[in-house]
Amino acid sequence: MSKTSLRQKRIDRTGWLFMLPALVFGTVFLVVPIIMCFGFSFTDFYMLRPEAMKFTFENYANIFHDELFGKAITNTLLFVVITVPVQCAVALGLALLANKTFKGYGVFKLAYFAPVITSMTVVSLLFEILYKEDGGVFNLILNSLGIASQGFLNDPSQAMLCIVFMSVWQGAGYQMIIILAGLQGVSKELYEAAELDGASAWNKFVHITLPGIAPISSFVLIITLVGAFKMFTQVQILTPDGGVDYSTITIVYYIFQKDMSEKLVGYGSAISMLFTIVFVLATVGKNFAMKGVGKYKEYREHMIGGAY
Amino acid sequence: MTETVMTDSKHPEKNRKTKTNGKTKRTVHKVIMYIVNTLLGLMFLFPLIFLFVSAFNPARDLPSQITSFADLLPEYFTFSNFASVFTRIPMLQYFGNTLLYALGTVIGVLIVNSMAGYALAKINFKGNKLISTFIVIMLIIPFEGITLSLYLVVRGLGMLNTPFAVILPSFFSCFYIFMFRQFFLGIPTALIEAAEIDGAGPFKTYFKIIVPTAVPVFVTVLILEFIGKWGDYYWPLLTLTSSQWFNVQLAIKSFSTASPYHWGTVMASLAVVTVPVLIVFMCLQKYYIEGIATQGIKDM
Repeated sequence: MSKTSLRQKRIDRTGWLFMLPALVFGTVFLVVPIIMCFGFSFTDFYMLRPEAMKFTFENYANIFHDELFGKAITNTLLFVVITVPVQCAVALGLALLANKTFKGYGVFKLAYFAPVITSMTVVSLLFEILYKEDGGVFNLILNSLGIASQGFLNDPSQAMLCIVFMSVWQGAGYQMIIILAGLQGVSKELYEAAELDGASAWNKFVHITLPGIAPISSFVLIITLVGAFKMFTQVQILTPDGGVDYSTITIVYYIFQKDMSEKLVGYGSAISMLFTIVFVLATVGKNFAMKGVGKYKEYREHMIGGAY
Repeated sequence: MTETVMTDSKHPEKNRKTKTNGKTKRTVHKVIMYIVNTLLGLMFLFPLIFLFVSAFNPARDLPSQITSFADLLPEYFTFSNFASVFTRIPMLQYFGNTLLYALGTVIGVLIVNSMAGYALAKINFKGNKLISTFIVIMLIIPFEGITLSLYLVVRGLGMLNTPFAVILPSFFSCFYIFMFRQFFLGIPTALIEAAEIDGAGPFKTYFKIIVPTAVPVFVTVLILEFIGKWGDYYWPLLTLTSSQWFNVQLAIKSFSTASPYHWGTVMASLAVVTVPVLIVFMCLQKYYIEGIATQGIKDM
């Protein structure tokens, strides 16, 4: 009896020793900031006059009257709603195109993936030049097709779409790699069997390929979504101060502006808390949805005898 | 066969043809796929090709003076843009800074998170369940949500404008702990028990027996973190305000607004920053892609 508990004590000590570095860094740089953020969100903490800090609920009330924050939410949602489906569709298309073992396909995969390894800063600075109203490459292309020059980033109705286009170009290769891994997991026999049955290419795509990559696509969807919600670098570089008419101000950029330029820590923290809560809820919701999908798959496997 | 999926759907009449046509159909299909991929690949690479060509362009023209495609092509190729990147700003120092940040982070990340992942996967200590749950919950907290308080912590510790500001906060990562944990779960417990019977202590077992078996996951984390740190912009922008501590991303951003403006030089600076990552990627491609791909397979 005492022998086993002694052994368990040693195991406990070893386990905590292995955890120790992670616990120290995790506490200082993650847990403490979260608690601080929560605390500050109930104060009027102003970074330049920290001694005048008072407790208040006003931050959360003010958020709902903050028109610029409303604009930031609308813009972020617009970006998310367009980018996520487009980027996932492009990634799926690229994956289907590149999913071959023929000679030379490694080069194609590399071409589609190259923008991903280029940092977002480089990509933004590059597209800043491509999007230039005068002498920008995109306008030169349009002009050569007989279309008049566009404002692009200077036009409030186009700026966000320009950022969407650039972000999809930069990011799609990432999701492509994941989908490619998923495609390789779809059994070849299913396609062969379907061919023997004379299934059309479209039918094979809908009934074999899509279900085959379903588990991965929900993951692809969520990482694209998460990335899109946090969009910052693009707008900070391409459209400083939120762009013309604040047409490209996003939530993370707004937090950045409140905190770093205006030093309104209390208010910035309240927005951060709200952002975090919505974010966590979305992820938890996704997990519930995934469980539902899992249950459905179990049920289906049970019914059809585990064909997948 | 997967290759019939895409293009054939547009030509349903082809499917009705008999077996004898199968081979030519397949060849035609193969050729079409090559052409489509080549065209699309070139379109995808176009901005990057433009970047690298412009980096060798001696023209001093401002973009507003460009009126046709011919103006974009360099009259001759020159290395002078690259030379001015290194003479107009202390680019070597920025490279040194970035290497310091990236390598410092990578070393810490590998030690801290692999040990935690091992403990959670293979050591049945009291509190294991609790911490595992905690890690999974923390996994979904977005970094962007806590940057301000983190900034205040880092400032409070007197680390602003020091390498520590960008290195230390990155050490702990729920995501990497989770990745290591998933890997170590697959290692047979018998291996650990055998080492213990031979009289090795837990740390010796870990570093001598376990770590060598986990090289692939270590390399994956290494390259993910290295490339991530190399391209890092948001956090350094907040914490490294003094230009002597800039990383390469902050450097090219500030260089792009410096006068006199010369877009060939700006492009050269972008190229210079991109090439090292390209090289790292080319060398360790397999691990990087596996790392990304397995994220999707092992449900987070």
